[in-house]
Amino acid sequence: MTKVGRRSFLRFLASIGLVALSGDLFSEKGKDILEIVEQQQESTIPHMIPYPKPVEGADFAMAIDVGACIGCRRCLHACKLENNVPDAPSNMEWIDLFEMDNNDSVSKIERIPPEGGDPYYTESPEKGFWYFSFNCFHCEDPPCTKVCPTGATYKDKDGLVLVDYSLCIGCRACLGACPYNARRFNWWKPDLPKERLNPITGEMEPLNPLVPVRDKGVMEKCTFCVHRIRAGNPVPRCVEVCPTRARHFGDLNDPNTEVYKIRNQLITVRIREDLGTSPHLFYFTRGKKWLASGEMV
Amino acid sequence: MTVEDKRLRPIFFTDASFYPYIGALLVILIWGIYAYIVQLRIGLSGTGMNDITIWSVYIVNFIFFSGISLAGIGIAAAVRIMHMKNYEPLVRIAEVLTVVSLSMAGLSVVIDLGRPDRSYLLIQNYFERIGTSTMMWDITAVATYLILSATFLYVGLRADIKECAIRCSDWRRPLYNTLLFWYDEEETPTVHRLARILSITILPVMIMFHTVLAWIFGVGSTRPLWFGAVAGPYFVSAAIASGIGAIIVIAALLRWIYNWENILSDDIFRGLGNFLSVSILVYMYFMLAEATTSIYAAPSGETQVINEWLFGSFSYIYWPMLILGMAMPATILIIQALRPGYINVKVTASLAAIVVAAFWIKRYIIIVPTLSLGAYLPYFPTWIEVSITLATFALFFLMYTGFVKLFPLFELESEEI
Repeated sequence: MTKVGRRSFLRFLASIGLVALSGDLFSEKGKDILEIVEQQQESTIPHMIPYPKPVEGADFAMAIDVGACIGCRRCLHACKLENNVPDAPSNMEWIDLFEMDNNDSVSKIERIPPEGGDPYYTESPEKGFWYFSFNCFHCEDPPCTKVCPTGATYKDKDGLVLVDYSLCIGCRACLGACPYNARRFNWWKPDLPKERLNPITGEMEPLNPLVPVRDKGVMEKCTFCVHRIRAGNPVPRCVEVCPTRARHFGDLNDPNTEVYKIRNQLITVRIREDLGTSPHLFYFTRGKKWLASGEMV
Repeated sequence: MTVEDKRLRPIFFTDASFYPYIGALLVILIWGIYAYIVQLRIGLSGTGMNDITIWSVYIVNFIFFSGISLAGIGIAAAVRIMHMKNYEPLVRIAEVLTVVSLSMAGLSVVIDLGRPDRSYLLIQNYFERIGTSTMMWDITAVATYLILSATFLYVGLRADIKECAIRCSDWRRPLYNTLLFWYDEEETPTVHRLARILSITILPVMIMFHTVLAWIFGVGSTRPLWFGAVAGPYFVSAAIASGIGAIIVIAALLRWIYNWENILSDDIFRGLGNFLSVSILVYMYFMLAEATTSIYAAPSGETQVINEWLFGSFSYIYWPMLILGMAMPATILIIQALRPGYINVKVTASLAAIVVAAFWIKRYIIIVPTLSLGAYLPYFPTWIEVSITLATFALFFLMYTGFVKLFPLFELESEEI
């Protein structure tokens, strides 16, 4: 039988301590008691909830009527509450809204954020401006999934580009490859209280238990509300709340959906079509621009 | 050959000034480790990066260290293939530079990850992702290059470790004996043959490594001034210039500290200086080609970024980098080449140091302005990024010094000097 000396036993203990310490960097154990209490008040929603199974034969797409959009930001706030997108420590948004000059057009937008677009406007709609909103484009040939070194981001069968939060190593190569800056990285550990204020309705709303809470250091982005559309709900939350029906959603393979009709009956524009990514986010207008006074140009 | 041999001086004698030097490096390193732990706790928010400026000084360090690793093995391989007797004393100095700086390059990538605890996924999903992921190409290239160059270094070192093990009786002896597993006196011709095969193998790997490195940026079709076919050759030429510069600096430092004037002769530095001037000129030629196409009639993004370089907020580092860091050293080195009487190793070495620093700034100018397009706030490194960068450099010098203190830097089988 080998005799374990005091010295080697201490060394063994020290190595265990080191391993435990290194584990603490990522777990919650190393925090002091105050933080643990704070944590318990926070959500109990897990970091990983598997996505529902893809819808057979579907090809989901969205169409935005830039003429109808009044820049009210309802979609943006509803999206944040629906998808547990954090306000703090940094304000993250899956949908970005820009106030654009009347002289510019959608086809002029070469990159996002668009040149001259103002994301900090206070009142809308304002005379002489139109509103450009975008979220993930769910491209048909997405550059982001190509560069991902772990396969964390992938194109699913029903046209959605999704992120598996448990596989992402946070190298941000996809963000570098995305021509549209549509991805969001968790630079901070998201701070999500159990209830949050909805700035539009002024009510407190609880976290959505169907959507996982993302951890720090992983990539996330618009999922077209995958937990809704794959579970039978026809549209994502942003489409549901739009007061002017500027946002339309549907299955491009189904001739009865709004998106199919818009795609086939109206002239639609996609951002940077020259890149060959074939975004599934179409811009169109029925020809009018909304103004503050209600009059039309 | 005795312990008194000048070439073995670092191993058997230690100056009093050695300890404060190591102490200072250790302090910087420990401070950097502290900064990294803070970064792990609070996430990458501790850096100045955001969703638009997605990469910054860590990736700059990655390219920088990859760059200076190139020339090391390049010189070693060229000397072995072409039997350049004059440059033989440089071989191991250059090889160690390659291995150490490549390790630092790999480390910089891991530091840059948001979830370094999941790095194993890179190996787990390797075969699935190697087809299209530029990041994976890079990891493959770094790993291949590191394994090849470490093997190259190690097989050539074994005979000299034997010599050290004979002379050494303290704690280092078990280390030497471990490294000498299965050592056989008759392996030397085999080792020479192996080194020759490796030299021939490593040259294309070296060129491809830096081309692949450029492709992380060069294939991003919407990033102005990254996208382009010239990215590969551009990066290779930068790596050659900064690598030669780094070798001159390291060799001059070693020569100054250990009085190796007759081993690392003036002739070696003259040759390296000439080569450095030419490689800077090649790089400046690429810069001209890039600037002309992007200013003249490029897409608006390219014009905007090049305007930021030349006249905008980055012009304060661009012009000093170009004029003081490249044009001025190249001119003086060319004068030295044309008038051999003017040669002065101290001047050559300080010019090389300026060139190496200029290439770090150039990499910063490649990465940050392109990623600042449309940013709401200008990027500026935070104390965490600065500390970790300094710690990476401190670790680089610690590892190099560790090698110098443990292993001979010259092949001992040649006649005593």
